[in-house]
Amino acid sequence: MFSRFRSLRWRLQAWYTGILFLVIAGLSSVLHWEITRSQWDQVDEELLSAARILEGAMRDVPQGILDSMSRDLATPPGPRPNPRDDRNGQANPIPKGPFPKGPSPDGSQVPGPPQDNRPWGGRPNRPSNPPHPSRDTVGRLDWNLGPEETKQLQRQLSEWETDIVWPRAIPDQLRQGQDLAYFIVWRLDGSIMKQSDVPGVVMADLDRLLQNHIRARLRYDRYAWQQRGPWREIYIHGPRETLICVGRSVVGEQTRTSRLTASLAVTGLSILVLGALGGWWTINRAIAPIQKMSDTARGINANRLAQRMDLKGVDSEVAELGKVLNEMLDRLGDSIAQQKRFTADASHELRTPLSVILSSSELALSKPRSGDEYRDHLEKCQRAATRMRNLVESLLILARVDSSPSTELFNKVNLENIIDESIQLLEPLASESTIKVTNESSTCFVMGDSSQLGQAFVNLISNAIKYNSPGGNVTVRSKIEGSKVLIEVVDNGMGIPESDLPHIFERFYRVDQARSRLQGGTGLGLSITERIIVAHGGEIGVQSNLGEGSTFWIKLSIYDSPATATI
Amino acid sequence: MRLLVVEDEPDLLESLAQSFREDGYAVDVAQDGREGLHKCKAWDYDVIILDWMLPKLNGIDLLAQLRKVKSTPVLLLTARDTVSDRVLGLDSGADDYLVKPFSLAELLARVRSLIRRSVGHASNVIEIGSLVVNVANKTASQDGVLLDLTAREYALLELLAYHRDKLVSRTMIYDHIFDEDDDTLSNLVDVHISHLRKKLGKDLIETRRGQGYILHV
Repeated sequence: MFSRFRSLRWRLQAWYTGILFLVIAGLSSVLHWEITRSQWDQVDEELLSAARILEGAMRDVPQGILDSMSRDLATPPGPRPNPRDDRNGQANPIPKGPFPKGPSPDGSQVPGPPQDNRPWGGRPNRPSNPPHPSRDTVGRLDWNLGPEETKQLQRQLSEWETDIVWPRAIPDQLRQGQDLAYFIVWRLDGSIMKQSDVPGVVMADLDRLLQNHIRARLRYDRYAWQQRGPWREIYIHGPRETLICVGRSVVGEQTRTSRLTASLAVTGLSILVLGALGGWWTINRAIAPIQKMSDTARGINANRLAQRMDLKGVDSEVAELGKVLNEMLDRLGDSIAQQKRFTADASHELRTPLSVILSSSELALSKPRSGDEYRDHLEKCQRAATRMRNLVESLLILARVDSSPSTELFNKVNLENIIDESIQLLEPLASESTIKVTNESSTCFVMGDSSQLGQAFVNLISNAIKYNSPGGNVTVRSKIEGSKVLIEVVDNGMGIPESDLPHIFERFYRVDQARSRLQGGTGLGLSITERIIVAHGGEIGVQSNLGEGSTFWIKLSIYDSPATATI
Repeated sequence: MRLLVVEDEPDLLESLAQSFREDGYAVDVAQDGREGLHKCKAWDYDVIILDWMLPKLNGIDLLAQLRKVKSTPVLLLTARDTVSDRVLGLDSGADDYLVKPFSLAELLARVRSLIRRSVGHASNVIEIGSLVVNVANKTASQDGVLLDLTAREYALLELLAYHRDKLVSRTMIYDHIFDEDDDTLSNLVDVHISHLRKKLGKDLIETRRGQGYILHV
């Protein structure tokens, strides 16, 4: 059952679908990556510009004040919700204390940076300030103030804080159509200087993150970003060894991203399915003619060779194959037809004398007859039997010549001798018809089978005798033409009609059927001769003028040059 | 009954002709297709025995040309034995097909059956009153007594019996009883008729002067 999956159709389909899948997946991935990257770049850009605004605002505040106020503000009243940022009107819990130096929430000691003890590191090229240069002065200033002054200062700081230091613009800018946005500013020691309303989840695990990733990254980069769940954050160095973080929720972006993923997947899958269906259709269309051809071929056998592949509207490659097959079938058909004709002819030639024998004997035995009548019938039977013997012998010779084209049995033979022997063999026939046969050929060596070549010459010379008029002449002569020898058997007999010349070497073809039969011809002599000469790599042909005589010529390759081949 | 045998093998032709003649037929022969066509157009044969492979004009072509003018029964006698050959031969207009080599007895039987069919008679035995003519073994008997007839007399009786109650003209008798080699004298038919009357009785065969003869039932 798996054999059908090994078919060309299935394999093409598998390859096609596989490649289509890879292309679609690759394109979708690139598209997805580019779109999300530009989206996150935009988000980062936005967050970074907000961070820069925050940084600029912090630079405007006098150094000491910034440092001290925030600590004071941060310590006694606790973090206050940013009035504009506060949505639910309630502050989020904020972890207290210098978290980088304390134990981490999971209880393990967080390792500090190896070269300095600043919680978030810092740019190495920036001059390293002592940890809290103004802390004592400002701190002392704070503690030595009277309550009124302190309050005043606090109020003043509060104004700065709300109006100057933490510009309204930041949350607004971040919040345009977005969800929660927030910022956090840390001091050098890791304590929070200022923060907006920050979701609790964001604060969780922030210490470890700062220790492990952000500080390391900020050592080499101007900013670092961090994706934490649905929040995106940007970290930069603020003025005076502070660390600024601006973040916002990116649920919208994430939703858009997953929507993009889903739509890309759906589109890609649809294209894949459509492409696969189209591919199936195309492959079937391409394969259909092959299927048809194999069906046609299956229906063709020796008895039904007339059928041909229908090549109408078939693609050129397949059509070419079909054309080649059709041509092959034509050739096969021709050769089978030829074979059939030969078999039919041979059977006809054998059946006719057999019919004579059967009907003559049946007639002779049908009633008592005189001795002369019996003799007459027996003579008929003998003639018919002789004809059958000749025919069977000719057929055997033909079969032998056809089946053994091997040149292994060939020897160097002298054509002159072979022709002499052939003429001697036919001497009785010639003298009976008072025909003079002369051999004018010269010594010439060829490679060949002497008995077969002898048969060929006997056939040609006996034809020349049989189809000659009494007192006629038959001449055999040879001529050297380069590396070939041309032997001609010339008679001055009746000649052959022009219309018969093209068929004269065909099996069972007789120019004059009645006369051939009278002469005991089988209709195979010339085709046997032709087969023998062709098997010897030679050529045979005939020229004839009706009433003047015929010339059969044979061309064979000479074995030795005439100069060295003299006896 | 008169037959034409067209066959190019002389020995076979001779045997066939002799065998038909010995069976009481008048036989004409032809050695090639053209001669055969000429003869079968010139005479009304009862059956033509035709070889397929003939010089000058092959049997099938001869048949095609003959069928344009005549529907003489034709038995195709040939060495070609494939089914397609038989189909082609019969479709070309042959009425029967016999493959060489064949038995003479079968050939004779087939010829008899062709003649029977051509005159519209199904049986080998023709009964006319007390007269019984057996076509198969070429005998005639009257009142159960076998008649002693010469071959010619029998042939004449058979012809009249096949066409009983119909006028059989003298020309028809000449055409069907004598072959081309017979030197037919004008009164030969009368002689045979008178011999037949002597053996059968006077009333059976009526003479229509100037027209021919009728065998009455």
